[in-house]
Amino acid sequence: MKKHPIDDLFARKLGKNKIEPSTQAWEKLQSRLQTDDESTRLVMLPTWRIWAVAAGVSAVLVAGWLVLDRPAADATRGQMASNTRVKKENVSPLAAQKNENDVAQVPALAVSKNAETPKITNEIQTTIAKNEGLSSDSQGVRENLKRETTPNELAQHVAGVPMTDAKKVGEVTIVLQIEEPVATAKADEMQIAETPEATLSAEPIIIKKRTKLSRFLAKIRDLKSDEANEDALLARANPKANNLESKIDDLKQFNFNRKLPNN
Amino acid sequence: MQWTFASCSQNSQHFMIKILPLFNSEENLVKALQRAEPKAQRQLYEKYAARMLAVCRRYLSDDMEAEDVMIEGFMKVFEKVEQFKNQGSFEGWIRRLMVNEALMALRKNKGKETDYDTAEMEQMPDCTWADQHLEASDLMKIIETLPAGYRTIFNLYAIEGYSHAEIAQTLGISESTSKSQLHRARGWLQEKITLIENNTHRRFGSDTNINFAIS
Repeated sequence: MKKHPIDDLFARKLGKNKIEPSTQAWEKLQSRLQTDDESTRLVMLPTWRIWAVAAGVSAVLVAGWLVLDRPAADATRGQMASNTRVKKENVSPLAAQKNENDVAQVPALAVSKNAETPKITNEIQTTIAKNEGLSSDSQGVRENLKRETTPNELAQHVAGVPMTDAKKVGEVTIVLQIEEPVATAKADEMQIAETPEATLSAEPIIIKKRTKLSRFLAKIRDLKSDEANEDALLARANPKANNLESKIDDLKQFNFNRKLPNN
Repeated sequence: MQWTFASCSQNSQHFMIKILPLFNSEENLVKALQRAEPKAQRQLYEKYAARMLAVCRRYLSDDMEAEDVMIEGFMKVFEKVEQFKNQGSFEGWIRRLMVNEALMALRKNKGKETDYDTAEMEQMPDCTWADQHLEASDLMKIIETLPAGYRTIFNLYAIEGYSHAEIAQTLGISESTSKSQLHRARGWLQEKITLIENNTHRRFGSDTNINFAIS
């Protein structure tokens, strides 16, 4: 259908016509857009904000763990060694429950003060054997028990321990090369050494790191399994905290024992 | 990447204005607009603002009002760009939104304008002279003289290409009203053009200032 001449004239000439808007027009439009954006932006932002918050929280958690964990380790190395030691005895119920016999043997050793006898070595050996497959805490106990032994006894260890313990024996030799003040092989000193942290300071960094990690993992395990351990964790973070009251008697007893040897 | 150079010389100095079209295809531009990217919005405005202001100006004789309607039309474009499905031309889609905005503005102004009755021109007019001598700006001035009702229907039918049925639906009138209004609008415009033609020939000869003749 042919267009009307008037329609055609106007359509051709005005269809593609352009009129430049004023400079304020874009500014007006932009201000309209910005006010609209502000309302939509509130909806848009949380996507990355959630991640930012998550990253922040995780960073705080990691930093908090590092900061809170360090004083505990330092404390055990220093003056607080005795406190944590006493606590440790209570903290590791795993070993205590599963190896009641062995635990009974350890105080017996403390009383006898004859750590250097082969009999005791054998007893330790049995403890090690029974502790196998337990948590890192019990492993710490085992390693420390080994550390208390003299080179002579170590030789017996090496002879008696099956091949599976070869690695642990290797660890023992490293420890023995560094002369610990505790390694007087007194029977009561074994108790001191029961806290892994007490001896950690003298150990190579690699072992320290690994035990730190294993301790952390143990913490998580404990938290999952047993809420009762929460007290112990609190006490580790702040050794002077509430937990002491229940253990003050143990501490006194320990100090009494400790005065006996010349130190 | 495509670069557009707009150069202009002024006092023997050359100013090179570089415009980087970020979205070199219309499809990319539409996608960016759907993500509400400010750069895409700016680019769309730069590309279509003048054309759309001309559309709005055809419906609304007030410059400021036409510009406001254009701004409102762009807001509608940015809001509704999600609904554009790449069917048909994007410019045509924008144009329709602008026309709708203009019609809404006219509806608000409805009470202000009165309808005129014009003599109907029965025979097909000869537009050769107007075609040769009248520019777009002249025709804009002529169209401005139309009463709003006629102007709207003439714009929709003759320039935008709407059918009478579409116009009737859009404006909420009957098709016969649309047809009769269009007819009157054509008569009005023909009358104006003839008047200008006659005035120009009589006063200033063949090639003279038509603006003067229109007013």
